[in-house]
Amino acid sequence: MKQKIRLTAQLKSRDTTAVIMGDMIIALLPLCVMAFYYYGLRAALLMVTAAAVSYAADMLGYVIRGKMPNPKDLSSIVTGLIVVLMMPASVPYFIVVLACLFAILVLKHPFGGLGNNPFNPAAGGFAFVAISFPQSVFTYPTPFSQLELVGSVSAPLVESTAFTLKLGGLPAHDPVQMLLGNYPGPMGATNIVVILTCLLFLLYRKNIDWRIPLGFVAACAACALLFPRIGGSPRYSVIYELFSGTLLFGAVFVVTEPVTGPKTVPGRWAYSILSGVVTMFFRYYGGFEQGLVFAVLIMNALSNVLDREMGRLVAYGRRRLHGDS
Amino acid sequence: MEFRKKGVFLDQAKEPALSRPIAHYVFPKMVYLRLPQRAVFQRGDQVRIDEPAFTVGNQAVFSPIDAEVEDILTPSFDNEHTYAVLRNTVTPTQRQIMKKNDEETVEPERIIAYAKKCSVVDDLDGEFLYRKLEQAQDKRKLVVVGNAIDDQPMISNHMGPLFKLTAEAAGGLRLAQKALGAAEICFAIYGEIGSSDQRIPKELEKIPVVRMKGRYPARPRLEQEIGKKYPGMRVVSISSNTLIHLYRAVVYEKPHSSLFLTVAGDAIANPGNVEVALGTPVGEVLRFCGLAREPHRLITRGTMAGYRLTDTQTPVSFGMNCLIADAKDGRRTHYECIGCGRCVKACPAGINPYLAYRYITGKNQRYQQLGLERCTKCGLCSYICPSNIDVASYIQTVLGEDLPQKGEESV
Repeated sequence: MKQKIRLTAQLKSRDTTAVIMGDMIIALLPLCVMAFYYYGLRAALLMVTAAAVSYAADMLGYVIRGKMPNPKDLSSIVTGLIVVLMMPASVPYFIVVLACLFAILVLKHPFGGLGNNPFNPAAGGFAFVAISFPQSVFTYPTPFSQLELVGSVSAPLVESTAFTLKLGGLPAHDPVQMLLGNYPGPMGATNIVVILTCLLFLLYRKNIDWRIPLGFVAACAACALLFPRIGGSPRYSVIYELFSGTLLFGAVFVVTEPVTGPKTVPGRWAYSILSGVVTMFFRYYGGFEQGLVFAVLIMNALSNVLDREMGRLVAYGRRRLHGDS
Repeated sequence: MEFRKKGVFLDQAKEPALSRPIAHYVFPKMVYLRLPQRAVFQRGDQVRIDEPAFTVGNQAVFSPIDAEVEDILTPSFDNEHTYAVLRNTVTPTQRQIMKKNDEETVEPERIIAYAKKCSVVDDLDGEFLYRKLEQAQDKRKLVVVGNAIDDQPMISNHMGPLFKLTAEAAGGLRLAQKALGAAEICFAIYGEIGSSDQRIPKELEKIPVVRMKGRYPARPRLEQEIGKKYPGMRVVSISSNTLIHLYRAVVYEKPHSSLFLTVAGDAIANPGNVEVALGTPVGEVLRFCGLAREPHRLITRGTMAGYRLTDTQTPVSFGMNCLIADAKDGRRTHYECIGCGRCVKACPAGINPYLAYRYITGKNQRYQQLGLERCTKCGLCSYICPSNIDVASYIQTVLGEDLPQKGEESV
C-alpha cells in the first residue's frame, strides 16, 4: 500500500470564514444603526426582513442543491444587508424580498453556492429590482420624516443627489450635511463618515484589499475632475460625485467582494480602476442616475481575464525593464 | 528568485524547549532497522553498537545499540519494507568515550573518509555528507554555513543543540572548512524567536553568526542572506546537527546513528530537544519525555508542513525534526473556498494557490501551466486559509511528492 500521506499544515491562523463574515456584519452594523436613526422603525424592519429572507433563501438553496445546510454560514446575511442598505427607506417590502431572493437563489446557488458565484449577488439583486421598479428604488424620503411601518409610504419622496447631477444641476445639500448623511438617499449609503470608518475597520482586520477602494475612488474622482458635470467647478464636482448615490458604499462593500473580484495584485488594480471608469460612464450616459451595480456586474465577468492578462503584462513589463528576473 | 516582503510573521513559541539542556535517549529498549531486499539477519543474531550491521551499496548501515535480532517482519507502519526488530541486550553503562583522532591535525582527505565511513548524513536534504563535501571541492572561494535555521513554530532542533553543544558544532564546522579549504565559515540562525529568554549571540566559539530576520519561510532565503554578508562567494550549507555528527565521526569515529528532535506540545510533560537513536519507536521517545495527557494528535517533520503520525511504533528516521504531541485533535470545520485571495498574498514563491486549488478540484488540466514546481512546501497557503482548506496538500498531491525516506539508500 502506497501510503498517500500529504503535507498538511498543522497550525492554523485564527481567522476563519465565520470570523470574516462576522467582521463584515460588524462593519455593516453602524450603517444599520444610522439608517434606523434617520428613518425610524421601518428601516429596521426592512433590514431584518432582508437578513431573514436572505438567510432562509440560502438554507433553501443548500437543500435544493442537495447539500447539508450550514447554519454557521452568515454570508447570505451580509448579502441581504448590502442589498437593503442601497435602497431607500420607503421601498415596499416585496421589492426587498424579491431582491434578496434573486440575489441568493439566482445569482449564488445555481452557480455552485458560496465561493463559486461569478457575479456579485448583492449587486445583482439590487440591479434586478432597480430596472424592474425604478420608481420605488430611486426615490427617497427625507430623513426624520414619519414613515409607516408597513404598506406604502405617504411621506413625500424626492430624487437623489445623483439624479440632480444627472440633470446637470448642482445639488442643494451642504457637503458637511452630506458627510453626516442628513439628506435623502439610500438607507445605508448616505452616511459618508460612518462608511469611511467601516472602511478603516475592514482594512485593519485585513478583510478587504486596500487597493480596490483606493483605485476605484481615485478613478471616479479623476473622471469627475476631468469631466465635471457641474459647470465650472471641478472641486465641487468631485465632492458631489463621490458623495452621491451608492458610490462610496459600493467602494467599501460591493466592489471589494473577494469571491467575484480578481485575486492577484495587478488584476485588482486594473479591476478597481476600470470599475471606477465604467461606473462614471454609466452615471453620465446610462439610463439611471447610479451606475455602480451595473459596472460591478460587468467587471465581475472580466475578473479572471484581468487576473491572467495583468499577470502576463506585469511579467512582460518586468522582463523588458529588468532583464530576465 | 526574489522573496520581497512575502510570507507571514508567525508566533514562534519555541520555549520551553529551546532553553532546556539537551536530553539524550540513545539506549532505547528496542529499535527498528529497515532491511535491504536480500537476507542479512536471522532471528537470534547479535549486533554490536557502532559496528556495521550490513552494507547497502557502498555504505555501511550501523546498529545504534547492542542488541539481538528478535524478529524480522513487515510492520504496521510500513507495508513495503522488511524491518528487523532489535531488542537491546545491554543495559546502558558508561561507555568509555575515547578520543581517537585529534581535530587539529587530521588531514582534509581523512575528514571526508571518516564522514563516509560513519555514514554521516545531512538531515536537511538527506544527502550523504561525504558526497556533499566531495562535490563542493572546486577552487572557487567557498563559505561553509552551519545551517541552524529553525523557522517553523515550536521547533528548535537545530538551535537547541547548537547553543548547548557548541563545542562539537563549532569543531565540526572547522573540520568541514578544513576538508573543503573554504575561506570563510559562519552559522545561520533564524532570529525571530519572539518572547524567548534565549539571546542569539553574534558569534559562537569565534565563528560569526548570521542572524536571519523577517517572515517565515526563512530557509529559502539563506543563500541570499549569506550572499549579502559574503559577496561573490559560493555557499555550501550543512545542517548544524550534521556538523555535530561530523565532529563525532572524526574525533571519536562514532557513526551517525542518532537524531536531534524537538519534543513538545501540550501533552508532553517535559518538552525539550532530545537526542534519539535512529529507529527508536516514537512512542518510546514520548514516554521518555513524559506524557502529561493522552495525545490525540502527533505531528512530525514540521509544524507548518508536516505529517500526522497515527502509529506510535513508527521509528524515528531522517527527516524528522520534531515530535509534537497535542492533547486536542486540532481538526477544524472545512468551509468552502470564498476566493478571498489570502493564499495568493501569502505565498512566498509567487504561485497562485487559489487557482491551483480550483483547477485541481475542478479536474482542469490547466494547473500544469501554473508553475507549481516553484512550491517551497512552506505550508503557508493552508495556514492562512480562513476556510481551513488544506491547499498545500492539493498542490503536493499534484506534484507527486510522497513520504520521503531519506538517509537510507533505496533497497
